Amino acid sequence: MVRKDLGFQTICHLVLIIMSVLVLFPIALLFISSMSPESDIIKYGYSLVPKSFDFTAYKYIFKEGSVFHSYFITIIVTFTGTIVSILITTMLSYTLTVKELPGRGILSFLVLFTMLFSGGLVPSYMMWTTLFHIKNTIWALLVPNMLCNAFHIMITRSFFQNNIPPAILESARIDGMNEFGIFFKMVLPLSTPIIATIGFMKALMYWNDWTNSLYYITDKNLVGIQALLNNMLTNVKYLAQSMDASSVATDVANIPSLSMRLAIAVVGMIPMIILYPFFQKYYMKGLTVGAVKG
Amino acid sequence: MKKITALLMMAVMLVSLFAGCGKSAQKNDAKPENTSEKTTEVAKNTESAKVEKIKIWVPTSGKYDDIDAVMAKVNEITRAKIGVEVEFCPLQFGQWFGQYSLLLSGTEDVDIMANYGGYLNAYSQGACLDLTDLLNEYGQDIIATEGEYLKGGMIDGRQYAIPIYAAYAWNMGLIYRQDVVDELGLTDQVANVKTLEDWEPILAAVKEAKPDMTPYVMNTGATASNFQYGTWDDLGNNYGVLLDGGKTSEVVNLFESDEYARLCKIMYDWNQKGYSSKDIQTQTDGFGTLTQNDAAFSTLGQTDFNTKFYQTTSIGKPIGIVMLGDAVGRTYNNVTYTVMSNTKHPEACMKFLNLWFSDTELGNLIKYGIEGTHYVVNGDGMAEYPEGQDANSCTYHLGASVSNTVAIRWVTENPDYVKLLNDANSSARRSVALGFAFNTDSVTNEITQLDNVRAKYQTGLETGVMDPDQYLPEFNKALKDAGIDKVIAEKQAQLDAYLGK
Amino acid sequence: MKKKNLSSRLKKYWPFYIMALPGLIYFFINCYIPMSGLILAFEKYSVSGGIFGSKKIGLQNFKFLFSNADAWIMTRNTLLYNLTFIVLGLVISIMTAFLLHELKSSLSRKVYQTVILFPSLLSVIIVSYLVNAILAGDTGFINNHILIPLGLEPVSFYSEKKWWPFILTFVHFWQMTGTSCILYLANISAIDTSLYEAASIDGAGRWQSFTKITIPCIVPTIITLTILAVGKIFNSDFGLFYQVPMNSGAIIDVTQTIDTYVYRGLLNTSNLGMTAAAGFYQSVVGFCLVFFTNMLVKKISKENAMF
Repeated sequence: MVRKDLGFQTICHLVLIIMSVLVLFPIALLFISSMSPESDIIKYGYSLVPKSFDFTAYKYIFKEGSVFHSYFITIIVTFTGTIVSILITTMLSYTLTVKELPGRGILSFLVLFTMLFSGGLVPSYMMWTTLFHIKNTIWALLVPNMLCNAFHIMITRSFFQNNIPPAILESARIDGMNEFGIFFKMVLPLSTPIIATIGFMKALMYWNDWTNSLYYITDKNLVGIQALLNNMLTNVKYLAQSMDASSVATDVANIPSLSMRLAIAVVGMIPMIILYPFFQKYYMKGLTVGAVKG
Repeated sequence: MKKITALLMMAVMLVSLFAGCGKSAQKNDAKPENTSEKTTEVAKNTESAKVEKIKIWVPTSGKYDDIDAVMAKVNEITRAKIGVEVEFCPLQFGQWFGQYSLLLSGTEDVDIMANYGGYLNAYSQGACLDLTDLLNEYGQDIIATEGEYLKGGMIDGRQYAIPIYAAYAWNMGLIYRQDVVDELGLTDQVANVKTLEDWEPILAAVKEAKPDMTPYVMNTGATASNFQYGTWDDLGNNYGVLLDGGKTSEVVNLFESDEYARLCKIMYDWNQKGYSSKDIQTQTDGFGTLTQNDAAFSTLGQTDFNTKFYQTTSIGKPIGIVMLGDAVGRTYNNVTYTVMSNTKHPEACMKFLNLWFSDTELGNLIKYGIEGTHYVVNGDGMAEYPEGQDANSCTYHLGASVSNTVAIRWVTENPDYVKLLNDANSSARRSVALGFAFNTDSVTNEITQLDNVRAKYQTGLETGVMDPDQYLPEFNKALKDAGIDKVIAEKQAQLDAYLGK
Repeated sequence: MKKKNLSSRLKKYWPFYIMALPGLIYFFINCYIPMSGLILAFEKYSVSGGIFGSKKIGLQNFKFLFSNADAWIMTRNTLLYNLTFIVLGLVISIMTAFLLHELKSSLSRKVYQTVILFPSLLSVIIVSYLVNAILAGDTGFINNHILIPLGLEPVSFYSEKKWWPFILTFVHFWQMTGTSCILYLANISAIDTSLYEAASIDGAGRWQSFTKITIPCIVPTIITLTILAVGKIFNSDFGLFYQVPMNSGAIIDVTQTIDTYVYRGLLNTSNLGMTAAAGFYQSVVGFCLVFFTNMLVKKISKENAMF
């Protein structure tokens, strides 16, 4: 038994190591190339062993924009958005698992329907700006298309259906616990694995989102990190192609566009990589806590 | 459980914090709106104290942190001269392209809109106000400056857009590294280059002597086609063109023309001989970036009187050009200003555009900021950053303008730019189709299909990666199937109507 | 009698409606109000008319989706790629989640999991530059550091069709596996450990407990995820099919999907009506497929149906 287990563990490690190498190799290439002089890449190609180092692109990124302010905005938005949306998502999903609930089928259908049909960008832009006036407010980063989506509702629902034994809830009801108490004191603690997972996916969504900022924000103080970097990317691209003989174009023509792109990717990733282990501690705990109790 | 409660509390606190934040931001945002409404009301009541407020949206790659101070100065001028207050809403280019179509949808507070890359989409959505009468009444300076080239903003004889006054006369040309040519002793030979065929021996010599330098690359990377700036007049899109820069009004199929086949063959030949990279069709960097790193020698592009000077200063290496044919004046609507069709202040918009076109002080202010703070004028009468400031530390440098003749030039620019520009624009031969705009409404289906066919073949053929003997007939057959003949017939009919035939 | 029954049920269940309310309100605002914009698919939009007042032109906006020679190719590509992603995705994500779950050392589990999540932090534009860094003809890693040193002919990937179905599938899983496997990991982690213990006392091997316990326990999740994926079967990740192949024309036959076709066709003539029409078409097909799949599931096991 023990020997067999050792063999299995080895296979596990082997497969996962191969996967990790496949993942890490391009990212290593990215890191190293972002720190190489542009001329080296153009002349000698991409390489894991750089001939020399050059940080012009990073200098430009940190000098140009308010990178740290944007980090701050994004972290706040990610944190707040994730918590609020976990709450909304779990409450709605839980409701959809209550078998006897009148209208349950219709509600599920209405939720699922939003995943299939969408009115498109222009109508929702019109609504958010003229009806709710969210342009240049923090709400624009938190709410449109981000707070809650049908996909997360559906997978959370299927987790609840699967892993919360109705008998436990029934006995709590008999003990006189009200439905809110049951949800917060019984259902949620039993569901830490899915809360951790949804939370992670939400956080990732908020972290990576730049479109809301692109559409709804013109105030520089509210631009998140991904939007800031994305702006830099398109600006550099535009200027590199511009035939426009303006004074501005001449100033910026010396930016290394190739290493810039790669450096931008690195700058966008780093805080998440730094923050991830802290988050993972809770995430892993969430997974195991659910397992023991369930 | 405690943790969950604590987290929730925190979230609630954060949200309420931001709700406050949001509200205050909204307030700030709403303020000018209210006052503008008020002022119009006041203006309606008392005709004498009429100050209209307009909002103008422009993209920029410059700086605008200090925009409030600059706008205060701008408004001093505009209030006194035309009774208008203007608010500039600059967006960075990246954001601009994301928000442009949304701004056009008509929900936003927009009076004047800058359009980059043509205004026909705005027109077909009904977003452009007919400016014909306003222009005649309030736009005399614009008419005087632009003359016939103003037609670039016309559709069916009505003025819908004001194109900026730019270099209208250009042709396709070769752009190359002058220092390399001189070093290899090819200067005389280059001076005699008249056609693309003549360029081949030069490329051969460069390939031989400079193995690290790709002799031929695409001008802007794979984002634009290799013959984007052709010798023909493309009449808005390349389905149906006038050959030789619009000498006659016969609309022909470019892709079936001998000229196109010739160009593709040359490119194929160059690619086969290794003058261009095997990956040229997915080239990510432009000629500028590549040649800065000594990785590229020459390219094809739009060349005009200023290309040599501009490329030399912006790239920082000596650049030469060979124009393949004479410069031809063409319809220009790449950068235009339009007035939104739902504006409440049409007259004010036109008055302001006209003043911006003609007033040097205003032009300088908007473009470079306040003299002494954001720029200084040097001994040669050119503008530059004040002592100790540069492109990064400067707090205002919008760069936007409507006329290239009014504001003073920046220190990196050609000192004779205005004179040369006026000469070039007025002396060049003009395409017979100057001012023609193709209305695609009746052939939208065909165009979506044609654009997809083009995506498949055009770059490959024009960069010489695809063998024209095999793929050019295939390309043409696919274009025919997608209905290119219908589009060309429609274009010819519209052009004939335009020329009054 | 029945009415009374309903009202008493409502009385009993009101706390659930309260809990559902924030989410439902959000869906109503965020999705259902803008959905009125679907009407654009039947209109020629103008600023003065707005969404509801513009000229109605019937089905004209839909014509460009069907009247072309590539209609078959783009539909075939979209379907085949999506089917591959769904089927292979199941296998890869479940296997990865299972392996991660089975690891004894929690430290190494953390490390592996972190590593395979890295790619989801990259935007697709950056991924496309990375793919280019590896595949490019002159500067690419494969040609420069593998093929040429081995004395092999360099490959110009961006003009050879045959590589791209594999490259795109690989890139898709490279980027997605991290996030999709954590869903299964959550569900596998929640399985009652006593079930495994009982099975191992009964002498079940690892493979047996995987097929007899793990799989049945996560079947509802598999069904949910598959039905959701089926609804999107006419859609495609635009970045993957447009940015990653660098919009290269020579390989369009194997990279064109409905989304890229619409994008390429409307790039120069942005047309709200036609964009809406394309979205509408994809949604209707997805809707029918979801409806059908759901019916099928309902027949087999009622509790796993979506609605």
